[in-house]
Formats: sequence, structure tokens, C-alpha cells
Amino acid sequence: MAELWSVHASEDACDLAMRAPEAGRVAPDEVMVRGPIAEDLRRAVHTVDPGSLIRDAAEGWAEVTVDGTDARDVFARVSALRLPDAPGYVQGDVARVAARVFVGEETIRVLVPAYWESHLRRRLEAETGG
Amino acid sequence: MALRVPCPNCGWRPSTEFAWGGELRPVEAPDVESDFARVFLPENAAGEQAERWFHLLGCRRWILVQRDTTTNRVR
Amino acid sequence: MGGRLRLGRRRVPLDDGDTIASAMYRAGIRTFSRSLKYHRRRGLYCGTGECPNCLVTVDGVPGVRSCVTPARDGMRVRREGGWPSVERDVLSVLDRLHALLPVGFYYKTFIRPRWMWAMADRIIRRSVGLGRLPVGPVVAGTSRHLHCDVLVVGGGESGRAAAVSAAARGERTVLCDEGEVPDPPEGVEVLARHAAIGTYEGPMVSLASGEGLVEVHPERVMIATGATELHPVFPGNDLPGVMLGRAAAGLVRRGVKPGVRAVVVVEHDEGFEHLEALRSAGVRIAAVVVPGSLGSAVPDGLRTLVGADVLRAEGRERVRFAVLRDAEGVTRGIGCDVFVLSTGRSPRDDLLRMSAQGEPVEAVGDAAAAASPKEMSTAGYVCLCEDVSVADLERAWDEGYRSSELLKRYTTATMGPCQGAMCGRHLAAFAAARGAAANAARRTTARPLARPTPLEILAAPVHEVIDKRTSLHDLHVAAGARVGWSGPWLRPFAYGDDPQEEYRAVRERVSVMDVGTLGKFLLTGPDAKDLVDDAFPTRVDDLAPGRARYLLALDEAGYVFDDGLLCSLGAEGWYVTSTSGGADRMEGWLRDRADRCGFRAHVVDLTAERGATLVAGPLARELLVGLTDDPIDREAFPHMGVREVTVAGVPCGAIRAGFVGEVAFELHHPRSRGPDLWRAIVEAGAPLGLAPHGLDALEVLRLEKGHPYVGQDTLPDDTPAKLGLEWAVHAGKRFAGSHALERLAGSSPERRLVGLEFDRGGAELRGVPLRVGARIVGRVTSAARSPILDRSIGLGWIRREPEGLFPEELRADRVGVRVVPTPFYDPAGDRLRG
Repeated sequence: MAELWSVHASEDACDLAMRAPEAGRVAPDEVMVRGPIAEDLRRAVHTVDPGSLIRDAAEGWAEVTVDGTDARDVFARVSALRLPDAPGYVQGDVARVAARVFVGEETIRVLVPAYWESHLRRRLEAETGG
Repeated sequence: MALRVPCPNCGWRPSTEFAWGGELRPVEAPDVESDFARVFLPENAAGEQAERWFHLLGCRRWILVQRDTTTNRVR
Repeated sequence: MGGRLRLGRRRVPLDDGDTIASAMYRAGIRTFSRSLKYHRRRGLYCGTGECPNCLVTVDGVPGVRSCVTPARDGMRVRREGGWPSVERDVLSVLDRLHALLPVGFYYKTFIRPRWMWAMADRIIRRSVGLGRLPVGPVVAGTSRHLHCDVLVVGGGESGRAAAVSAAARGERTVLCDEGEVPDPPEGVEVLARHAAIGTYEGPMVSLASGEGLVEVHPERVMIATGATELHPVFPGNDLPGVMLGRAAAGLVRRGVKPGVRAVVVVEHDEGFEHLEALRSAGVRIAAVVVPGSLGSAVPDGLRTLVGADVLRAEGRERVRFAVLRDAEGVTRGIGCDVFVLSTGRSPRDDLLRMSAQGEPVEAVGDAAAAASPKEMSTAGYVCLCEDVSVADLERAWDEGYRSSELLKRYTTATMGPCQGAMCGRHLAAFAAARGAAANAARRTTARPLARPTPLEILAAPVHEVIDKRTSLHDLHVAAGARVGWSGPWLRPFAYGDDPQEEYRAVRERVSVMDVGTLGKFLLTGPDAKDLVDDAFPTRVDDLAPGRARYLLALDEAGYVFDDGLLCSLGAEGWYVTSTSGGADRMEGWLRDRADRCGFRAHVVDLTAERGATLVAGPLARELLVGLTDDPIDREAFPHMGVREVTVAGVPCGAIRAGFVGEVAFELHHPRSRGPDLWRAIVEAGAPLGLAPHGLDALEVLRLEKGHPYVGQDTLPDDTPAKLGLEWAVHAGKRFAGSHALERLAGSSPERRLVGLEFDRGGAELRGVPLRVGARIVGRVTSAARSPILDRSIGLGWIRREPEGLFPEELRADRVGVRVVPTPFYDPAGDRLRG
């Protein structure tokens, strides 16, 4: 899995953190960033909110990708969430667990807390038959 | 197939993504006696009430929702 | 096409385009089923899939609407409702016993002696019903979600037009129909053979097909389900041969003559089309009955009775006479073998009525039209599905059920397969005619499901239960562990056949356990300490960095909802652990307090990010010393200390605590490093006689220390006092539940959790009531045989006696029980502090 960061900060600082290329607004005070966070962006966030936390979240999350031309159809079998156009982010119920979804052109990346990785993979395999 | 709840962070979602936190009540009472009413005697209004819902399967934050207890309509 | 149906011993030939019903009718079948309660003969009636009369079992599947189901060669068809057969039904005698079986009779009869009801219940069940459910393995349905701009329900004229114009406007449009959609329009996603079974908030419409469910999430919905023909009510209206216009026309369309001699009632334009169909099929029209306004529209050469009223239909096994009273008041019986009624339309608006107020759901076409007005009838069958007549409604009304909703529930009218499509308006009209107020004479609430749907289709979105797993799961399985459910987690219960081996390893040597399931939270920020101080009754002001304390979690009513550990991390903040099943609630609680009290603190959920491995036993230190360079001796790392320790190269936050009563190190580490750490510990432990332990051994170990499991040994309204945990509450501190505890402080608890010693027995005593004499005064919540103490011990709650004292000698079934202090093992805690 690529780098994964959790930013816990004030609303303004989080707005700033959303400038990272693949960022998802979890809550007013939390942003999830997939991929590296540039050093100057980190500094900017700390400047706006010195009490902010930028934590490596890779350990806590598992990423399961759904790709291919029918990726959206497969996703629609495990979740009622309406996927935004790529590049986009949405969070909610996927296969009955709390998930964070990064939407790419032909790849849908579903992130779940690591203890649900096995469940999510099984569900998706059941839908793709593979 | 459920009530729809408006999460300000995530949008309108089915109530199955949430845990219900009950009627909104003051965070504290001035003394022991009025605290009993605060905790054990909710308004229980027949009509619209402010409620706390926890978005378990989404942002995992508490949100405030207005729900009419007679029609179950949510704002 | 050709082919044949098998109907009992008969072989029914098929023509092209046949439905099951048309083929049966052509072969001379007139009785298609027997009615639910009174076993009356029922024939083809609506022809459009609304009424229950033509329901048959096909290839073992009951409830098939034969009038709308295409026939296929080889189908095995069975008519239902009669015993031993529909033609010769012994239970048709019930039709003569109306006096003994009035509406609601099952609420008033067979009450005493008690055994009568059990017997009656079995007999009643045998004599009603639409057939037998197929037994055997069931294939779960598929399920998916579909997002679009417009959903049009119904592929008829209006529906098709609505879909085409929506698509032309560039809206993503889906059109569904429970049957086929001939000539599907371009640019529209068409879902044929998908029945809309309910509209829900969203809006969301659930479609059921033979394969599964499609949950559609449109921006707006158009209901184009058309209308059914009105269902006239008069005595004899349920005789075979009495049918609605569309049923007759449907038969003609399939090359079947509905009868030889017909009386046709036409009260709206559509009826003339059906009349024409009958004539073209060569059916002799004995009479046409029309209201004055349509008198001139009747084709020439037909005997016409203008302004005549239908009095009744007469016949025994089928209709033989249509009895009318003409405009002059003369009663005429006209011989016929088919009595066709085309008296108006009733919009199919259930899906519309189900939808929530204010949602963008509208009806178009016939579904949106007004229902044809009708007068209330004085006799006849109102609800064909449930065999409810006007007389039944009158009787129910006399008994005091004076609204459409109450009439529905008492008589079961509208509760059958048609769900009120035929009779819903009649019920409302009945109540209105009797003078019920407007809100008591409304049509009954429409609710999903709009169509009977097999459970395996409804269950399609439900999958196997969701399991949480630690990163050590595969290791446990490979080690031969018996893995099972513990709350939402799959955890190892035991690794071998002898649970005592694991237990002894903990008490005598060293053991390791996967406790990665614990809830774990990091609290940081300027107000983190205030948050902890407010959220928990635990004393915080004197908890120095590097120290941990037992944590009790109380809600605002002062009730215990969880327990765990609180660790002070100094500048880094605070670390809170909770029970495995309580993590969600703990997080919710912390966020709730932070929000409402305005604390500036981050609540970071580390439950998934961190694994946790417990090393416990008298040799625990000896094992770890070989795996770490960090000081872990008693002085450097005392009991309830918190230290950063690198074990086998894995950085860990270590807490010296444990509920098993031996020296224990709870190592919190990055989740992914779990397997490395476990393997290193197991390897280092081999020469020391290490054996891992699971939940079975843990149950006994913690019980010997008298440690209660929240949820197992506690009740939802247990305060610290009731659990003997007052010591975990910092007296005098202001926290979330302190007012509640203050209020209770004046009184003594009426219930307590206590330690128990049994004369004999073990785990099987769990759940057994505790008695004094014959009176139940409590319950055993945990029990086990303690190997090291060679005693039977447990925990349970007991009630204070009326005299004010708690009992000390009790019985659990036949076993003698004494209340004893806890912990049972090492009360002084020397081994723990080791």
C-alpha cells in the first residue's frame, strides 16, 4: 500500500491539508492523505495549527483495490454509496463496515480498518468470482 | 431501507450507518437533584426534538439532528 | 411452440403465448384454487396478477400467479387449497359452517382447556395456506445498488413515454417492469422482470427479480403502474365463471373462449373493448348491462339492460345465472356460464402511498387517475385473499372495530397476497358508509412489500457475519487453535485439547496471549487531561507519566459500561484501553465528552493500528530479558508501569498489568509486527515451557482473581458500589457521572456482585439462579473449577433480603453455595506484583 497519513488538526489547517493530491476530508478536524505529504505542506499545517498531528496511518488501514472496466459495477454490489467522479473521495458503509474510498479513473481503492481486511477481501472476491 | 439522516460531514445516509445517542440534553446540571431530571427525565416531546447521532460507519463524529418523533421526519 | 404442462395426472397442451392459466382454462379447468378459510371454489378472476384465485404451485414453488406467468413445456403444476384435492375438497364443508367460524373466531375459541389450542392450531394450519414451501438447499440471491436520475416503474404506455422524455432531457433513466418490456426504448436502462416491491426514504426503490434484489437510488421516481379493474362486490361474486373484463379479454387473446354464453356488465369505456373481444371469439352475449349514460354505446343487436342493478350470481360449482333487477324493478335471472364485469378502474398507487412525504415520487398515467367511484355493497366477498365478506366486516364493526385499520387487523382483510389492491378501497368505503370519521375511514397504510417475495431474495444483501481479526489470526489457525466468536472478533479459545495445560503454563511458567482486540485510544492536545478527568471516575491528578491505573467507565447515570486501563504518557498525552467489544462505545463516549464540554483534544483510535501481545507468568521476565536490551527488572519496571520497550526488534509500548494474577507484560506494538513478535516470544519461551493461552483459559484465570467481565458479570445498571469497585472511583472528584453517584451515595445498593464458592461443579453453573429456599435471590454470572485452588468458584449477583442483609448461604439448583471474598487466588497480589 502507498503511504497513508492521518492529519488531526483545526478546521483551517485541515482545509490546507486538503491540497495534497489524494486527500479525503474525514471530518472538520481530520483529513486522510494517500501518498506522500510534501514537506512544505506539513510545515504550513503546523504553522496554522501548532497542535496538529500528522500520523503515519499505514498500520491501521488495509487497502483493497477494485479495478477494471466494471469496477463501479462491482462496487455497487457491496455498497449503496454513490461514487463521485474520479478523482474523488467518499466514506461510509461498504460491505457493512466503515470504509474510506479513493476513486481513481479505473481503480477504486477501498480502505478499511485493518481488522476488517479479511472480511472485505472475501466479500469482493465473492462478487468478482476471483 | 431506513430513516435517512443528514450528516454534515458525509451527506444524507441511511440510519444503519449510525448509533443513536438520544435526545439532546444539557451537559451538566447545577446540583444533584436537577441532575436526576437531566439524566432520567428527558423531554420526550411529541414533535420535533434535537438528537445526537454518532456516525459509526462514516466520519465517526457526533452530529445534531432534528427529528419529529410523531412523523419520524428528519431535518 | 407446443409442449405440455403436467397437472396432476393430466397433460395440458400448450399453444404459443399461453400463460399457465390460459392453458389450464382451455383444457377445461374452471376451479383454480380453494379459498383460504372456507374452501370455496375460486376461478380465474382478474387476469392481471392481482387476485389470489389463480395462484398455483409450479415445479414445487408455491404462490405462482398463473394468469401472468408464461407456460413452458414440462412445468409441473399443482392447484392448492383443497384436501385431498381442489376438485374434491373434504374441507369444503367449512363453507357450511360459517356460524361456527365467524370472523376472528380464533381469538375467541379453543382457549380452555389449554391443550385445545395447540391441537386447533395444528389443524387450522393444515387446512389453510397457499401450498408447501420447497425444502432443500437455497441459493442466496444477488444484490446490487443502482444510482440514476429517474426511475420509472411500469413499462406500459405512460411509463414508456415518461422514460423516453426523461432520457431525451439527458437524465440517466431506468425503466423497470415486473413483466416483459416489449420494444425497450433506446437510451433507457430497462430492467424487465424486476418488480418494485417497496419505496423507501431517499428515495430508494427496491426491485426484486428471480435472481435477487436491485436497490435503486434515483433522484426522482415516476410510478406508472397503471390501474386494476374495479372489483365488484355482490353475493356470488367469487363463483368460478364470474370474472373481470381483462381476464375474459386475456383469455380471448390467447385463443381461449371464456364460455359459451356471457352476461357482460360495462360501466366504463374499457368494458366495450372486452365486450368486442368476447363477440369476436364467438361467445354468445346473453345480455349487456350498462348505466344510462352508456346506453347508446352498446353495439346493435345485443340484448341490453340499461340501468339494471346486479343482485347476485347464482350457481353451485360455477356461475349459472346472473340475477339482475332491471330499471323497472323486475328481477331477472339470465342464464350464463361466464359473467364478465367491467365496472371501472382502481389506480395501483401503493408504491406512491408508501413513499415518504415530500419525496420526489409521483404517479403518472392511470396510476395517477382518480379511482372510479363505487357504492358500498351490502353482501358478497370483499377480500378474496383472506375470504372476508361484507357480513364479516359488519360483524367486526358490531364488535367494536370501528376504523379501516382496526377492521383490517381483526378480519385480516387486505393482508393477503394482493395487499389490498382489489379490496383496500372497499374497506375504507365500508368504514365511511358506517359513519367513521375521515381519519378512521382512510385506506390502510401502504407498506412494503408490494409483491410477495421469497425470503432468499429479500436476504440477498445479507452476507456472512462480519469478523474482525488481529494480525495473528493465521498464526493461531496454523497452531491448531479452536477459533470462535468473541463479540465482533474471531479469537482463539484454546490451542489444544487440554485447557488445563494452557492454564498451568500461565500459573507455573510463562504464556502468551493475543490481546490485540482491545480498544486503544490516544488522547492528545491542550485539554487531553481535562477530558480524561471528566470522562472517567478514575483519579487522574496524581497519575504520573509512565504509570497506569485501572479504568472504570461510567455513563451519565453512573452505570458501568466498560473497563480498561488509563496510562499517562507525559507530553505525548494519555492512552486509554477498553474491552474488545466496547471499543466503539468508548470512542463515542470520549468524542461525546470532548464535543459537549468543548475540550481541545484529539481522540485518535489506535485499535486497528496497534496489536497487543500479553506475556504472563512467573517466568515472563526471564523470557523477555533475552529479547530486549531495555531494563525490565522490578525496580525499573514496577507493576502498573508504562515503558517503551523494544522486544525482538519490535518497538512496543509496554504496560505491566494483567488480569490473570501473575507477572504480566502487555506489549502494544505496530499491527504488522505482530507475527514477528509472537514467533520470537514462542521461540524464546520453548525452553521455559511456554504454551499460548486462549479465551477458555483466560476465563478461569481472571475468575480466580475475582475480576468481573463487563457485560457478563455486570448488569446495565450496575454502579461501582454494586460491583465492589468503589475503590476505582476518585471520591470527591467532579466527573460525568459524579452527580448520579452522589445521589445514590446515601442509600445502600439493593444488589451486589459477589464471589461464590460452590460445593461442586464448574462452568455449567453459569446462568443458574441463586436461591434461598424456594425464592430466587440472584444469579450465577461466571463459574469454573479452579485447578490450582481445587475449588469450585464463581461470581454472581444477589439481592438484599427484606431484613436488609445480603444472604450468605444459597443454592444453585442442587448445589450448595457460599458467598466468599475475592480474589480467590493470591488475595494479597504478591504474584501479580512479582
